[in-house]
Amino acid sequence: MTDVAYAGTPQAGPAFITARGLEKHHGQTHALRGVDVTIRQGEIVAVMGPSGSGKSTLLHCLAGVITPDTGEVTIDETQISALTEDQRSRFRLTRLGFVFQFGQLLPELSAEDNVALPLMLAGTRRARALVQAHSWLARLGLEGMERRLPSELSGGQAQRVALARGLVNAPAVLFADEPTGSLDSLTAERVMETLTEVVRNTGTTLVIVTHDARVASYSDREIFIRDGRVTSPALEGAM
Amino acid sequence: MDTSLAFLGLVEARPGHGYELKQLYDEHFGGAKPLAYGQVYAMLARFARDDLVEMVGVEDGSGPSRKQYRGLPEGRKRVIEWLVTTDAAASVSCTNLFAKVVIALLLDEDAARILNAQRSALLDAMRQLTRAKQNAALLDVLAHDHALLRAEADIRWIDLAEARLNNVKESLS
Repeated sequence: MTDVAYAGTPQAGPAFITARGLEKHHGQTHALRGVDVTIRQGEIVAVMGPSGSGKSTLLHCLAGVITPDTGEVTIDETQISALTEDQRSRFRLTRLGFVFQFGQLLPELSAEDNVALPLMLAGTRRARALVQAHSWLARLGLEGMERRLPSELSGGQAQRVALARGLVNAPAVLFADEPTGSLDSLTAERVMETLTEVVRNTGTTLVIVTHDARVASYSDREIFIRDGRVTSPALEGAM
Repeated sequence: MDTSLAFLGLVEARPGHGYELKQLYDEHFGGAKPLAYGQVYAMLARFARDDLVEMVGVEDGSGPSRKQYRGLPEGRKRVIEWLVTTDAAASVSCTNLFAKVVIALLLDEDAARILNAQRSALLDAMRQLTRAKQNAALLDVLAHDHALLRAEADIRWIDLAEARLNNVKESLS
C-alpha cells in the first residue's frame, strides 16, 4: 500500500526519500509488509501507529540503521540498501541526524562534547567540532551550559542538547524517534517549536516517529502504519 | 449523531418491524434518550415514501398488526454516503462516529477506514491549531490548547476503538 497525500499537504519539493516494497521480519514477526513511502525535501512527516505496528522498524530502514529483507530505500539519489556497511555508516554520519527519546546523551561527556561527537566521528578535529557545537548550543538557547554533564541538565535542556547533536553535521534528513516522550507538555511543546523552526529554516527533511497527536500536529502530514502496512486516510471509493 | 441515518442504517442491516427496529436502536444508541414510537413510525413512513426502504409484509398478532420493513439499494447508498463523509473536525461528535462505526460493522463495511479517515481529519485540524498558536496572544493560545486537547482525546478514542474493532464486531453478530 502507498501513503496518500491528502488535500492541504504541503508539496515542499521533489521526492527526496523513497522506499519501495519494504519487507522486514524480526524473527517470527512480520514487521513491515510491503511499505512504499515518498517524502519530499524539506517536509516534516510524522510516522504514527500503535505499539508494534512497525513504525520504528520503518524509521530504522529509512535511516539505513537496519537493512530490509526486500525492497529498497533511496535518499537524495543514493540507494542506501546498495551501500556496504562502511559506506552506510559514513552516509549516516555525514548526511543523517538522529534524535531519540530520553536524548540518549553519553553521561560521561559534557554537553559540548556530546554535540561535537558526530563531527569528530566523521573526521573533524575536536577544536573545530567544538566551535560548531557551541554555535548550535547557543542557537538552541543553551549558551553557558556547554560544560555541563547531562546529569546537570533538565529534561528539556538535555533534549535540546540531543537536538543540537542531531543537527550539528547539517544533515539532509533528521530522524527523530519519540523526541518528546520523556518531557512534560509545556517542555515538549517548546522542544517541538524549536525543532520545527530549525528544520524549516535549514530546509532539513524531518521524519518523526510518534504516537503523540500533539507532536504530529507540528508535521506537514502523517504516515499511519498498522500491522506493518501504511494505511490510507482516503475514504473515497473505499466502500 | 444523525438519528435518521443511524436508524436507516439499522433497517439496512436488520430488516424488521418498527418495534424490533426501535429496540435495536435503543440497545445500540439510545442510552438515556430512547426513540419515541411516533418518531420511529414517522421515519419509516418517510423512508418508504422516498424509496429508501420498502414494506414487505404485515405480521398479524394479538396486538396491532406489525408492518415489516427492509432496506432498498437507494437507502444503503444514502447510509454509505453518511459513513464515508468525514465529520468537520470542529464538530466531531463521538456519538456520530460511534454510530457510523456500529452501522459499518453491521453492514460488513470497513469501519477501520472510517476511523482512519476521521483521525486524519482531526490531525489536520490540530495542525491548523498548532500553527494558529504561533505568535498568538496568550489567551488565544489557551483557547487553542483546549481545542487541541479535545481533538487529541478524540484521536485517543479512535485509537482504542480501532484496537477493539474485532471484538466489537463479534459482540454485534
